[in-house]
Amino acid sequence: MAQVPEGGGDGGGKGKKRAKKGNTHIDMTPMVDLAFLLLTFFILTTTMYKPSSLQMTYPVPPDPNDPAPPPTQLSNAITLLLTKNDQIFYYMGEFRAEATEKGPPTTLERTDFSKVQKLLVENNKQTIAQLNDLARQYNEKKIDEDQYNEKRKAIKGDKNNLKAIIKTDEEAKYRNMIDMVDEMDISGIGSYGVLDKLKPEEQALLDAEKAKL
Amino acid sequence: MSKIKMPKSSPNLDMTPMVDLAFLLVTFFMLTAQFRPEEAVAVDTPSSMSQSPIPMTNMMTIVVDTTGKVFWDFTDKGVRIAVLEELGKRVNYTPTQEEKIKFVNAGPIGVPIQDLKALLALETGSERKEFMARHEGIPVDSTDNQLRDWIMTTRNIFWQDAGQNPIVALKADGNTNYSRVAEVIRTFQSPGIMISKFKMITDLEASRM
Repeated sequence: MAQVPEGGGDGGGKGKKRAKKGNTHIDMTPMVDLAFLLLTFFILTTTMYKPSSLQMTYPVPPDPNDPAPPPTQLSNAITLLLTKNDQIFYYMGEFRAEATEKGPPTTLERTDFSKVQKLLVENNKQTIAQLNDLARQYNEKKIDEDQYNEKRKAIKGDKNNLKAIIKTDEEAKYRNMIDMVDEMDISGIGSYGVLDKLKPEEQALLDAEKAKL
Repeated sequence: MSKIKMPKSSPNLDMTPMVDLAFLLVTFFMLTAQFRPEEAVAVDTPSSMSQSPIPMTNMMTIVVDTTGKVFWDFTDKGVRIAVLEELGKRVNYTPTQEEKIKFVNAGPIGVPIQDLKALLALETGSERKEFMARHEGIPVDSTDNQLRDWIMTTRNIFWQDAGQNPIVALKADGNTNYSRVAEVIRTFQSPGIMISKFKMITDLEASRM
């Protein structure tokens, strides 16, 4: 393709011989071939490998000598029980094995990963509205980044917001737990915990529900 | 009317800029490409929306594969060698230079300490992979929690070196039972280790790519 004329120097034979005028044309075809071969190879073999990471902070196990911390307010909590086949069971508020003055005994509701986001968002509307409002202010440059992060933290950490307790049974997969933690981020739930032990009463209820599947 | 004569010789194209560009790209790709180390363990990490990148140095990774086997991995060569020597002392095993090199390049290691010698005696990566597939990984059960030893040794050595704790990452397969992963996390939190902040390695969700 790229013919480079050779020896264009002195065509006529007369006169004294001059040193050839430097005709520095080199046939670059093989070099270009090679360059493009390598280029193609690298472009085709490169896969964008992009792992990312999720920063997790687990609570430090309490010292047995320390006094027990005050019980957490659970009336605004949702407890999500993850189990086999990507199933989720949940209940709101505190666990009540029997009817008390606060309400009837706890029953489990069933959901799955396609519906849980809607559930969480609906229960956490107010916080999400606040977060969206804050994001809008930030986008309109009414507040700077530090203020934004600070306020965002304050909104998410509000004690009266929806809390979540994620519990996994023996058959839940690691993927389920990561997905659930992801959902927490999406639905603006700032305080959540992950546990891998169920209370015996919860386990009994869960087993009964699983048997119905 | 004379015919228009087509020039006989092919047109003379100046290819220099194209070649320049081609070589520039070749150089760029060659210099920036990092070969993915051959994975000794196949781990299909779950995806998440998180976008924070993972560090390439000073990181200890605990890998849990789909069958629940536990592996240890570290990014920096010097620390790897020191850890091997230190753990070898417990079973009266002094690795040779050649074995150290194998260990450095082996990626995640998942055998009980007493089997390290047998593992490093093997010549090729595929043999070692097969060897690890036959064994049960690093024991995590409460009677013989060797993962504790691995983590503590790594941290001690890293601390002497750098004066800080290494970054800890957990890379588990999405289909592992969470109860198994929780056992590893309990080891992280056991007295004397107390790692409560760590990274969970995930894939970026496809929609965010």
